[in-house]
Amino acid sequence: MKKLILFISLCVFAILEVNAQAAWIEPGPTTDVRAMCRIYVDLSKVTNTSLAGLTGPFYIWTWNPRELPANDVNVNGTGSQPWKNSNDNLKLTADPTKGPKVYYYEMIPTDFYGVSQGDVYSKGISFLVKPKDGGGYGAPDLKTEDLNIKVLAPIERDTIYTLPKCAYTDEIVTVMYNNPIERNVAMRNLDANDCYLYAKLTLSDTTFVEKASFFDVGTNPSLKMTKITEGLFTGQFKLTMIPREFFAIPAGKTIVSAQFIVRRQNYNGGIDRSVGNNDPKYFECK
Amino acid sequence: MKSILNFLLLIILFSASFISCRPKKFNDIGLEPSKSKGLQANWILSHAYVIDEAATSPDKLDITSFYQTKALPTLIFTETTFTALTLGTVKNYFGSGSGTWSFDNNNYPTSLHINYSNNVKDTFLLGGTIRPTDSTLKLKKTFYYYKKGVKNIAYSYIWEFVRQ
Repeated sequence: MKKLILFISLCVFAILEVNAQAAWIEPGPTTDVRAMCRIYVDLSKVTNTSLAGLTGPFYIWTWNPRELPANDVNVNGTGSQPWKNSNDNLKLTADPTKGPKVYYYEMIPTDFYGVSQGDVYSKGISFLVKPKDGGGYGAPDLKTEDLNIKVLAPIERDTIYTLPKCAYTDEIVTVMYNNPIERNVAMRNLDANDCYLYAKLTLSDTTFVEKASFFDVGTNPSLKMTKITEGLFTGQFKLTMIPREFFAIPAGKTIVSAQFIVRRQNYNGGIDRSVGNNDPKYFECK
Repeated sequence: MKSILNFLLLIILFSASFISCRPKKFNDIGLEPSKSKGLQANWILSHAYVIDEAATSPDKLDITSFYQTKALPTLIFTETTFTALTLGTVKNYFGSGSGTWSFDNNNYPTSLHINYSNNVKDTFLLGGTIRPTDSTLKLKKTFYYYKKGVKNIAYSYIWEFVRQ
C-alpha cells in the first residue's frame, strides 16, 4: 500500500513538473499582472498528445482566475457549440525564437479577466490550448491537459522602505521615502531641504537605538534626506548608510527591525509627518 | 582606321568607368583588441549602484554620493596581479585586497575571477567589454541569502571605474 501511495505521489509530481515546463508567464514568475504579460505554452512538452499532428492555429481556453461570460468580448468560444468555435480574439501567436512549438497569448491579466491583482495571485492562471474546433460531441477532444501557472506577487513597498528590501546591519542600506504617494497630502511635494528621518531600531538584545529623538530629528543634519531629481525614483527622498556605523550599534548586536517616520524640519503636529508607515522593516534577511 | 581608333577610345572610356566604380578594398582592421591588456590599468570608482533584485522590475539606485563621502576605491591590474586600495572607503567588497586575476574567456570575457592572496576566491560579472580603448570598467556582484535552506536572490551592486 505504501509503495502504491509513493508511486502515485511520484506520478503526480512528475505531471506537475511537466506542466511547470509546458506553460509559464513572462516576464514572471514574479509579475505585475496589471501590466502586459505573455502566457506561454510549449506544445512539445504537454502530456496530452491530441494536438501532436496539428499545425495550428491554436487558441487559449481559460477559466481561472475567472471564466468570462458569454457576452464578454474574450469569451472562450461563441455560438451554440462554443467548444467547436473558439473566439478569434484568443488565437495564440507562435514564438519560434523560443522553440518550434512555442506559442503565447498576450494580455493584461487584470483587464482580460476583469479581476483584481489579488485574484490573479491567489488563483493563478488556468487554461488549455485547442484548435478552433476542439472536437467532442462524440468525437475525441483535441486539447492539451489543463495547464496552471502560479503567479507571484511583486514586492509591495510602503511609502517608506529600505532598498534593498533585504537589509543588513553591516551592509549599505538606503532608506527611501516615496513622497509622491504620501497619504498625508500636507506632506506631499516636500521641499528638498525639509525632509528628515526618524528611526527607532530594535536590536538583537531587545534594546532600542535612536540617532535622535523624534522631536530632535530636525536639528540633526545627518538625518536629513536627499531629494532625488532624476531617474526612476524622481521625487523620492533617500538616506544611504551602513546602519552599524550610522547608529553606532555595538559589536555583537544586530538590527532585528526598524521603525521609520519622516517629518518636516519644523514639526508642528501630525500634518508635518508621514502617516501609515508604522510597520517595522525587518533586517538580516533569513 | 579612324573607326578603329574611335572603337578603341570607346573601350578605354568604358573600362575606365568600370574601374572607377569598383569599390575600394577594406583596410585591414588589425588584430582583435586584447581584453587582458585592456584590463591592465589603475581604475578608480566613478559610479556605484544597488539593485533590489527581489523587486519585480529590479530598480537601480545610484549610491555614488554615499561612496563619495569617503575615499574612493581603486583597483590596480597588472598582467597577472590584482590590488584593491580600499582603505578609508565606505566598505570593502574586494576581500583581502590583493591576489591574481583571470577571465572566464580571454577573448570574450563575461566574468572576472579573483584569487586573493589568502586563497579566497571571488567572481565579478563584467558589465561591458574591456578593450584598451575602453575607459570604463563595470563590475557587478550579486548577493544571496538562504531561507530554510533555499537560496534566494537579494541584491546586486554595480561599480563603474574609470581608467586612470
